[in-house]
Formats: sequence, C-alpha cells, structure tokens
Amino acid sequence: MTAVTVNGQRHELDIEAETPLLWVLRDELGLTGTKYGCGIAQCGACTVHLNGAATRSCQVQIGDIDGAEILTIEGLSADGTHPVQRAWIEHDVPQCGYCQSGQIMAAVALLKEKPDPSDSDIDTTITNICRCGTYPRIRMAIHRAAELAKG
Amino acid sequence: MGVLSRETGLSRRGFILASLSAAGGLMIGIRPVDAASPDSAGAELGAWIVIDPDESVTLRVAKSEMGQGIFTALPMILAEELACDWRHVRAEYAAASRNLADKQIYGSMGTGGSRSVRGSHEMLQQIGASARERLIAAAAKRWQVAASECGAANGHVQHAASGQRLSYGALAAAAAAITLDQEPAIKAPESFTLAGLPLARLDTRPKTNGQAPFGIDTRLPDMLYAAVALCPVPGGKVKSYDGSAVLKRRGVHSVVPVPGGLAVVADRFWRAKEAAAALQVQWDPGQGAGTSSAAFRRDYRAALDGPLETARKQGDARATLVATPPAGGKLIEALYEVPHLAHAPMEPLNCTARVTADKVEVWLGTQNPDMALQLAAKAAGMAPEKVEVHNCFLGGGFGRRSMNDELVHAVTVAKVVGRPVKLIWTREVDMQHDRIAPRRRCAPARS
Repeated sequence: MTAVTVNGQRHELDIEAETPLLWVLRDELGLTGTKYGCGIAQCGACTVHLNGAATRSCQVQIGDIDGAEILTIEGLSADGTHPVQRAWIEHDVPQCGYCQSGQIMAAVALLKEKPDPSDSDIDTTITNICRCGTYPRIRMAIHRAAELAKG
Repeated sequence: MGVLSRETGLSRRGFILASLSAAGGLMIGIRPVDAASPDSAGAELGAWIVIDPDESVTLRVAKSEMGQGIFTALPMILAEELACDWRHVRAEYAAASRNLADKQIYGSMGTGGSRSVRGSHEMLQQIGASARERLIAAAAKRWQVAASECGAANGHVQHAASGQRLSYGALAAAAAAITLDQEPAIKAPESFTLAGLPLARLDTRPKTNGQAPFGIDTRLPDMLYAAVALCPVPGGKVKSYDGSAVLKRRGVHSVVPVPGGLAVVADRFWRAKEAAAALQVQWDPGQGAGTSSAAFRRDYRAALDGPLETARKQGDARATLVATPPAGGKLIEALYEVPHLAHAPMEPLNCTARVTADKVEVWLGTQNPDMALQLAAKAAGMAPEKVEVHNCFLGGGFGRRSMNDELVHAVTVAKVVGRPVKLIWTREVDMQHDRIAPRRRCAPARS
C-alpha cells in the first residue's frame, strides 16, 4: 500500500509499486489534466510538482514516492486564476493545448525558483515540447506571470 | 439551411457523458451533439445555431479544433452575420450523425489543407445572415411592422420608429418557425465588424486548467483499457501468439485480435501496456519484409542517378547560370534528402468505443468525423445510422488524425469484450505505425 497526497487530498493505493505516477493520476484518480505524451520523460506533457519540484510523472514509480506531496494542474488554483494561468489566458498561449498543463506546471516551478527569470532562464529550464510551437507566447506569458505575481 | 425545427443538441445522456469525459466538469463550449431532445429550451435555427432563452448562442463547428483556432474562427464568421452578442457565444461540434441523417447539411466535415475558413466562410455567412433575418421577421411580426423597418445588433432586434426592442432569446422560438421568401445578401469582407478582430480564443481557459477534453481523457462507467502490439513491419500480421502468460497478470482481461496485431485489454492502461509488451507473438512481416531505411535511401539514390522522366522543361537553369553568372556569384549545388517522417502529434492516437446491441459510440479527436462514422459502423458490423461520433479536442492532427486506424482497433475490441474500451497507442506504436510522409530526394537538374 502506497500513500500519496495529491492536491491536498490523501490517497492510499493498492497498486503495483512500479506503476508510473502519471497513470496513477490519470487512471486511478481520474486527474486527466496531466497528459501522456512520450512515456520516457522527453516531452514534459506529464509534468507535475513532486514535493514542490517540477517532475515528469511518467518516469516516477509510485512505490518510490510513498508519503509524497503532489500538485497537478487541477490543484494549481481553485478557479484557474493562478498568476501563470492568468498570464496564459492574457497571451492566449495554447493552440491544440495538449502540452499546456505540463508547460504551466514547469513555468510555476521556474517562477518559484526565479521570480524574475530571463529569456535564457526560460529557454534552459522549460524544455517541454510544444508541437504547435507556442514557445514565443510561453516566454511572454512567463514574463507577464512574473509581473502579476508581484501584484 | 432550409428545414426549421425545434430539436436541439443536448440530450440528458449526452450531458452526462460529456461531464464524464471532461473528468471533473463540463466546460464552456464543448457539448456533444446527440439526438433531438425534448428537455432543452433552446431553439434551433437550422443545423448550426441554437439560441436559448437565457441568451446563450450555441454555434456549431463542423471542422476539428487541433490548435489552429477553428473553434473560434468559424463561430466568429457565423456571429458576424448573426449579429449576436459575442460574449454569449459558445461553440460546440456539429455531429457526424446529423450530417449523415440530414444529407450532408454540414458539408464535408474533414479538416485539412488549411481549407476550413477559405472553404466554408461564404456558407457560414449565409447561414448567419439567414438566421438574423428570421429573428428580425419574428420581431416584426410581433410588433406588426415591416421587417425592413427593423434592424439587428448585439443579440437584439430593434424597431427604431417605435423604440421597441427584443432579445434573440425572446425571439428564437418564433424565429425557428419562420421561412424566408428569399435569402439575404451576405456582407463583403470590407464591412465586417467582428470577423478579423484579434479576439481571445474560446478554448483558451479550459486549456489552462486541465479541463479541456481530449479524446485520451474520456472516461466511461465500466470502462476497460487497451494497448496494442502491432507487427513491427507495417502491413504484416500475426502468425501465432501465446496469451496465456499475460492473462495471468493482475487486471488483464483478454487478448483480442485487431487489424495488424493484437490488443491487450485490462482494467488500467498501464497494466494493458505492460502486458502488450510482454505478449509472445510470432509475426508474418508480409510484403514489407526486409525493407529498411538504408535500403530505401539506396533505392532513392539509384533512381535519381538513373534515367528520369521529364515532367516539365522550361529553359536550362544550369546552362544559364554557368553562361551568365551574377557578378561575384558562385554556383552552389546541393542535394536535398528528407527521410520518412512521422506526424507525431503530441497526443498519441487513441479512441474510446462503446458497442451495444443497437448503438456504436466513439470518442476521439478526429480530423474526419464522416469517415470515422463509416469506419465505426464497418468495424462493428452495424448500419452507419447507429453510430455516434463524439469528436474531442485534438492534441495535434497534422493529417494523422484523418485516418482513424485507432478507431477501428477500439471498436473491434469494444465489440468483442462487450464493455466500453479506451484504446491508446503508445508513443512507440504511434511512431512505428504512422502513415509516414514519403521520403524525398531532390537534386539539381542534370544538363
């Protein structure tokens, strides 16, 4: 039995230890905002926060994170008004939208580390793939989120 | 246009399913269109427009939203002529079943080639203008004035002379019963006031909070999951297999043959995927046996070095450049080679299917709902009229989602197991079994 806390809610799971966190979130807990893209931690669509750090959940085995705190896109804010979400909406960032949960979770983690990141910080830290090519708007929205977070 | 009816899009069942597929609530704008329902208050003005008494205006989109913004662009074109209040507009997918039943009322629902706006704006303008004139006619009738004395703007019809004004929500039911004597003219682009504005996309918000329903997010009661093991050589098939070991694994339900391979069905996708990888299969590679990237490269090079056919000849570029090089110019020759390429949409191919005795339902992101409907019918062995295609947001399309091979797999499996099945191709299967773009090799013409 493994226990994890997801978006503030504790779950006890009777599940194989090697099950990736991604599939626990999507299939056990029904939190489908976190996406499956590649399954090998290359694309970043499955990015969540694991004990506060941006983590690609497809390569995390549930048995290795007993007691962990996990934050997913669904738990980022109650009403979609986290500064990063507001900035994303202002800049109309998403196109197909599939990668955007992961992009947003990666951006939130970056801003926690660096409240005022440079373009180069963004380019080196946010390595999530967007097949539509929304990178320029992601960059603009992260700068905007930095402003919004300062109030 | 034509036929007027009060039927509308949303059945109670459709609502529940959509809520489930969104996994945590129905979002603005995305509602599956189902059979006519008596419990909705909205009035349908043709197949494209539903106006509710609360002033919400639902505009149907017969093209697929895969990132290009069509879920906003086509409603803007309808709204331009309808003269409704944009703040009350929501978009929903048109139904392929309606298209089948209503003699292609939505035209071809296929999305590709950057054709959606170019190919449908005149038709949508006409539909919007026609609905607007019917709303005006309904108001004029109520006020006992000439329709020509009335105008429409921002979701209201007004009669300037008397100062009377009625909202679309109040007029829609009456408008739905009106037939026009002749179709109104549509606007020239120069007089557009809405279409062409840089408005915010209607689908942005649900794409920033995890609620946007992609096909892969569909969840149905009693649903099983499936992963596939396909012949590594496209076109090949199963020679023999032994499923006994994987059937002993936790959660594994069954192994079901599908075109090109086998599907492993389980109570969770991860279990299905691991079992599919462990399945012992002997493959018959078929005609593609022995092919390789290296062999293709060699063949293409040999073909280009060999005798070529002339498709068109105009002048002699090389001779001209050699004879009269531009000042300081240098003749550069290069040979361009592009390998076979996968479309690789971010969302791996997937489809959820439910097959009952009298109905086939599929949930997926498809660029070709009309064909998806036909393929689902064929795979289930049922009449096309029994099929409902619930199109979802597409996590990228690029043409790959025009083929629907994943749908054939899902329907095949759902029919065999008798329960709803969500079948997902892993990224590895998606890349290996893409309908790959052709290899190309281009060289400057030989003199």
